[in-house]
Amino acid sequence: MDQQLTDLMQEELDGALEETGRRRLRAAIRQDPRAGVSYEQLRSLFESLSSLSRVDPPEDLEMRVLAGIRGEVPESRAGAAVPATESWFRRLLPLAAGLALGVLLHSLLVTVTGPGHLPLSSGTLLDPGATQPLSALEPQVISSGDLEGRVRLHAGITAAALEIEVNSESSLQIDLRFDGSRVRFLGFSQTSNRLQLAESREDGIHLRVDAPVHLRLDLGREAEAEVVLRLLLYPESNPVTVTLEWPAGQEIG
Amino acid sequence: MAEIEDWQLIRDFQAGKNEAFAVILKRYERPIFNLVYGMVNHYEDARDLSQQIFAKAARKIGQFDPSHRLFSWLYRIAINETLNFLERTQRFEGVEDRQFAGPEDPEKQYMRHEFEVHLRNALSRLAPQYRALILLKHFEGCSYREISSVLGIPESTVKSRLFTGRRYLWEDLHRKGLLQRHGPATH
Repeated sequence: MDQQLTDLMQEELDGALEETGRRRLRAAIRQDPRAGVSYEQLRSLFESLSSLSRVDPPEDLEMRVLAGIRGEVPESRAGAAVPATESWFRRLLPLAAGLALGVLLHSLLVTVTGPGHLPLSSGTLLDPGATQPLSALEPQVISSGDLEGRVRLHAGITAAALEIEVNSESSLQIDLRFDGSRVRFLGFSQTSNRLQLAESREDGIHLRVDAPVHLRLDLGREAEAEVVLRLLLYPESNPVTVTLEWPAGQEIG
Repeated sequence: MAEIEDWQLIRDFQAGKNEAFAVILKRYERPIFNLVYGMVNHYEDARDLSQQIFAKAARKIGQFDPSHRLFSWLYRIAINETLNFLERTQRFEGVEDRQFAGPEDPEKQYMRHEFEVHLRNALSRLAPQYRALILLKHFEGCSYREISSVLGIPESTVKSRLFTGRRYLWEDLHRKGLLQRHGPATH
């Protein structure tokens, strides 16, 4: 396609083309049907660009910036070496105050409530030895009829992550909370080819999926706190609550 | 109640009222975050960069020229910080397969989502400078003149670069047959 002609098309679609140019464009489209097709494709592209979905900023962005302005929080990871989750985790530290720091993480308690209790064994903690920087739990298999998933918990040098992979034939809603508060989805990816619906509400992000899900929870560097994660997995007609309790004292990083 | 003007908020903030900056944040965090997210295609990086951008804006607020619009100044900081970040990291990870809320029925949403992923991927393949222009124009709704003000380049340069960037984008999608398969006109 002639560049001058596509420039005319773009100018027209930007609403900036003057009458002379518009006449030239119309004439070109009349003379060559391919130009008309190209124009329609460009118009579609412009529409798609303008209707790209907006993403909700993190809920705590404002708090983090303002805290930084007051000198409470150093600059973010992109500019300095401080983990971005530090302020988030600071709020958890009071939780840890009463907990014995020397107690080693020795088990993961997995309880399941709701209709149809699931027979789950306790998780197994892998020794975070010198050669193994990550402490990790053996994948847990959760199954209840049409629900099947794997739960893994591991901690890295600067972050711990809870990864949940769920496979289900039916629609699920997933609601992940931390200590009664919404857990931010710091990274989220999903195989999209069977996406049904994702909703963002005031009380959290609710996802309806029938595809594998990968969620990540960044716990930051200072993780000497009791961590209770409640993962709610509920098929529309068969709610199931999975509670993961992570005892205190596990030092990460 | 009438909205407080940006210049008033800036003056209040310079006078030591941090809550004035909170209002600025509320006003601009969404467009800035989305601009940055559109550039880096990574939620965590967009979060950290946005924090850095607003922190910088707060530090440099004394350098703001009140004859210009605040959003232009913030966008300029955002673009510069993001371009620096991209240059530093030279990262390309493809687009996060992030889900977006929408009122459409699942099938329509799926189609839109699929095309959007392709479109964001194609945007990611563009040079960041073109990407920034396209996002400012289409995502933030800036005019040629506003983009010129944000980037500090003549309007004629804005136009030619914007046209070139969009042509590359169009050709890229066209080569992959995505305009015919997924374009909104076919929905």
